Amino acid sequence: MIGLNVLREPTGVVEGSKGLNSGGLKAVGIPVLVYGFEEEDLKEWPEDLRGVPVLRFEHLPESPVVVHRRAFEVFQKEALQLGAQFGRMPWAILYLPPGEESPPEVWSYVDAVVTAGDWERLRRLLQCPRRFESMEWVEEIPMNRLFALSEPPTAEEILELPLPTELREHIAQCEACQEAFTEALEARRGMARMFCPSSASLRIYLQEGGRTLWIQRHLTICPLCRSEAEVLFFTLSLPAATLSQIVKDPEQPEFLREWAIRRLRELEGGGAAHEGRT
Amino acid sequence: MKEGRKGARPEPSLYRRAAGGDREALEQLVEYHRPWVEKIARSLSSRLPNLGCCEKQDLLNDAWEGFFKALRRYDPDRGTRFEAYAERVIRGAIIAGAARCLGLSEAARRAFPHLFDALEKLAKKGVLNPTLSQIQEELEKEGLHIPLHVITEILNCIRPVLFTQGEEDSGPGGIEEGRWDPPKEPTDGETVMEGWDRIKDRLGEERGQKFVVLAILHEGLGYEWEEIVHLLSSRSPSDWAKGWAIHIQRDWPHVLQYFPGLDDWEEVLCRFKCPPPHLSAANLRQWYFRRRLEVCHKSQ
Repeated sequence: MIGLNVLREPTGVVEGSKGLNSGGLKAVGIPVLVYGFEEEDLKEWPEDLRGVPVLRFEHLPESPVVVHRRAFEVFQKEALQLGAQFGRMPWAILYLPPGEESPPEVWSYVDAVVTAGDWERLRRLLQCPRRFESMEWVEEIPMNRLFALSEPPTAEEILELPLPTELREHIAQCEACQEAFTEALEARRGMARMFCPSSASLRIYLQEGGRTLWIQRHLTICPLCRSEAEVLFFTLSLPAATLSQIVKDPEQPEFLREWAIRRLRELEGGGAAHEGRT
Repeated sequence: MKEGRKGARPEPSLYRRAAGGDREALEQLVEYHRPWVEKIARSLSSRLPNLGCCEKQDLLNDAWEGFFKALRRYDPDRGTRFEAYAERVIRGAIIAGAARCLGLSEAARRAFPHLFDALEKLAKKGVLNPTLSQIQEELEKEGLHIPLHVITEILNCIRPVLFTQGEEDSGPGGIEEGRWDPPKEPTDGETVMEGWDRIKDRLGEERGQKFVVLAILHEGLGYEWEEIVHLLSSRSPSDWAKGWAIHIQRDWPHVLQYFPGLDDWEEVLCRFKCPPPHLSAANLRQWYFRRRLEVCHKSQ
């Protein structure tokens, strides 16, 4: 590798690329932190993607690093060291020259993979240096807010999320980050239900009179299971003795006791529809 | 008078709303499909007439469990009618419920729906009196390697119930044409496991298990990343390991099939002792986020 500079002030390098979905950047191009590239590699790049070489990391960069396939193994070691030192690894994109394939374990170290020549994708990934950060923070949204958000979430909704103030303000005003945030949100929503208790577990929980603390904990955080459990509770044929037991037990969560009271009233009234049923 | 569902057929949007946790949509779907679900339960309960402790009300509750299970997984965008998809899930839940009532061992209880399905497939092929090896072969076609003693336990148990008298000499199944009338659709099987397949396929066993552990703690139980670091740093409460084992075995038995050892907290801790990730909240979140990317966007 030749002609590469040490990245001394990563913050400064990235600063010019903040808030980047504006036309102003086009004049100077998108500064791209590149790792393991040779001058020859960068000559093929379009003018608007301006490579800023990195030799080693003295700080955790604020924008993603584009790692050449030839330097991936060295980057792995650097990333692990940074992970131990700073509590997290840098955001990174693996760059694959023609004919090269992703190495094993690639996804432990990078957030995206691009192939040489796919400049549109690289531009999109680097349109804002906070893209991956915006996506990653989706993991911090509590379950009870996850399904309450619109698709895509509005700027107002984003501003009310329990995320760092500065980040949520950024996402709310940055088109690129909003798009990435929505994409990550959909991915998380798509998988979230896999980790809910099964319908069978909910049924057992309700039939046994709410004895399983794990399910109880889940029902307090997951609006989907809470709705399902409520409708299931009124659909299953539960013995009056179980319902009375739930009502009498002060340890039971309030919602379960309330359902049991309503269900008992229904049974007393000959099975009339419970309150709220349409 | 013929039983029928009241009102207009539900729009696909109603299923989507129900899947998104809309209680009113769930209630509407329950009310619309109630006669149909009850009919399936009655129909199957008449085919499983002598299940001892198993009351018809239990089978109906099993049917509703299957209905909610199907609602969760149904995707109206695929163009399949809900009933076509849900019927086999509901039947699967009823058969699984019947297996519980039969007092089978744990292994036999799990195998029962698959065996039921295999016997039906054999019957459709005209093999009405299958031998043990024929049954085993049929199961193996589905990738199921159920030991002979488990198959025998089930057959011994269900023969007096499902099959006619005086068939002792006609093979282990002793199935007589006209008396064998199991569900026409396969029981709830591989189609519902796509998500777990994908996790295991894309992450492998070790990383897949780590991902699932984090997902259960974070998504399933609502623990913050800091709390998860605490739990994984061997600072979990003394009764944690026991509670974890019970929770996984009871609420995620299907995941155990994919990730054996998931219920052993000590084994889980060992997995997390190997870097990456180093145990910090930011590291764990980043690791988890990247695994999700890997599972969701393989071609990225």
